[in-house]
Amino acid sequence: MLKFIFHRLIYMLITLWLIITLTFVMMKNLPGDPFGESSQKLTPENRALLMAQYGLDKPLWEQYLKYFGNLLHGDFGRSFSFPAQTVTQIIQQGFPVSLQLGVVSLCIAVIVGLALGMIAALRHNKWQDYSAMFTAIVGISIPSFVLAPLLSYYVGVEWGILPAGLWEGPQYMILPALALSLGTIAILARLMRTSMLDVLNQDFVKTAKAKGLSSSAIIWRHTVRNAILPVITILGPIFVNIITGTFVVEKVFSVPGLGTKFVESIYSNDYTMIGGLTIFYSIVLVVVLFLTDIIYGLVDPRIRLRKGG
Amino acid sequence: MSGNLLEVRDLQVSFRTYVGEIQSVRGVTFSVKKGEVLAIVGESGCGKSVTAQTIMRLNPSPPSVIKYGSILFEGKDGVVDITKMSDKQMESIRGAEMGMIFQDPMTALNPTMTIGKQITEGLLKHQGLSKNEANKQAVEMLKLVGISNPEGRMDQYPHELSGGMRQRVMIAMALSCRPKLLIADEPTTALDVTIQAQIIELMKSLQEKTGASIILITHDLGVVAEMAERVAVMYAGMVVEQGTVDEIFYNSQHPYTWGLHRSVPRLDSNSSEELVPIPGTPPDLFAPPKGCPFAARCPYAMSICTEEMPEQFTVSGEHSAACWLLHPDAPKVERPAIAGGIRA
Repeated sequence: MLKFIFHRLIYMLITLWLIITLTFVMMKNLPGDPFGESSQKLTPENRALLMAQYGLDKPLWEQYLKYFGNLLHGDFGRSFSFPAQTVTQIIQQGFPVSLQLGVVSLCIAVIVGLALGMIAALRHNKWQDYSAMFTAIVGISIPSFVLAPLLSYYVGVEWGILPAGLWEGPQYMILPALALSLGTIAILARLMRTSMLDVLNQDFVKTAKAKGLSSSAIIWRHTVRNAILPVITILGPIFVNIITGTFVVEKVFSVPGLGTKFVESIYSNDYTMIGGLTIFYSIVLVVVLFLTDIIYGLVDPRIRLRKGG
Repeated sequence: MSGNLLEVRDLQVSFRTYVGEIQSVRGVTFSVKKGEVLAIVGESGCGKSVTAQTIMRLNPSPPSVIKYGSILFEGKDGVVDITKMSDKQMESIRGAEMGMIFQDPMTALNPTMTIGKQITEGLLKHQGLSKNEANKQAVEMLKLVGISNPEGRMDQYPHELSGGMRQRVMIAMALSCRPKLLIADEPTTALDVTIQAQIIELMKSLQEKTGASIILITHDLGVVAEMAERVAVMYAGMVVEQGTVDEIFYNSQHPYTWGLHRSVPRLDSNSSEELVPIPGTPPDLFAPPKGCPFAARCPYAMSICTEEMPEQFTVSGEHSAACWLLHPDAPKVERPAIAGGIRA
């Protein structure tokens, strides 16, 4: 198991390095510069001064080395659009909010999604199955940018049950988390249903039944653990999807998260912000995938043993 | 029950599907004596597995339905009719009084559970043992089925074991609660020939040790000759002939049984001789013929064969066959010598 983790760790570092380099190269190839090339207010001298101050006049490889060196110290640089703050500070403010929202959504999605999928599989071709799958189709078809305003308006404003926006306490999380999780609930429900049906038809479930086990023991001990494997594989990407997918939902509910910042930085060619956020999200993604691999290895003994991971 | 452990009477099992009803088992009657090995042979789709799984009520319902008949079993609490038991009652019979071994040991074990856990599961459920006692007994069982280093194996997962090993584990699991009846559904089909022989040997010796009755389902006549005392030959959901091994091998009466014998290679046959397959295919069980199901493939078919189902004609003692040729008015047909006519 240790060897397995070690190998995964090496791969993770290589992946991160590739992402950093690619982000750097692509960012430098974006048209325009952070100081607004069409802006007439800057004289060429001032522009050159600014470029020099941010080190943008140096050759690319030197910029790259400096950038990389700073990154190793956890320094993403200073935002071009908000010079008062470093990118790290912006992340520190915004990310906890996005993360909280993401984790709550993911928990809702996993619990509800898996439950729906299991019910659908165990009541295969009965009304419970049909209604669960109908819910799933609806969940996949309604995008969050439609659901979020609807929830905010009806539940928040018209009925006044929950706050329609802002971020000031646990009850403020419910609506955005719901809006964010519905699509994932649907995906997980469908995946779990297919996976359960597949496992229920396996020979070893018949073996378990032939042992005289009760149906609940068969379901929990023999079916769910095997059926959940493919679900775990996609949990990593789904988690990252949820925290990056908060852009729209954060905007609708005026949540002070990282999503809005990301979009803005792209519009304004804010190199350090784009680079910082991309790399930051990549780290999150890669770490989550790494954790997923480890969890997968824990649940499925066949993975653990394979030499070299 | 007069010495019988199990009596299956006129069992009819169907599967309801979207396109219609498949009559998989159409009136099967046989019995299993205490401590005997009964083989059920027949080609794929003849209903032998469905019959076996119905005895343990393992077929999911729906789609499967027991349409008629009874399965009497002499359990701990006297004779019970399996077809009338509730699911809850079946749980206390399965594993405890009947065990089952499946065809493919590669898929019949849970890949995410250790061997030890899978064996002790049944013990914990049926025998009310503590975890320690159950573990001890599981190690005993592994030793009994000839697995080396049983203590170490307890913590291993199925993928760490070979096919033959896994089948031994399956046998250990099925026998862990000392059931009176062991149903082995093609236990050697998925194994290498050398391993097949070992598994057969193992089952024979365990059967002698525990005195359990075995229903052995197979299409391998070699395995039958090796293990069984009595044989039931099934075709298209019916038992067409049954009797002792000697009767089925040396004095078979049903043309289908002859066909089976002729399609098996023999050591004493001339190497230039070709095997004779049975021409045609079994009837469609969506709409089985009203006469003898084998009539369409039978070289001896008479006009009555397609019209009316033959009854079970008694040949001698417990040897019976469902074939019109045994009717006193039927023309005498010489049994082909190659169909098991010669005593080895």
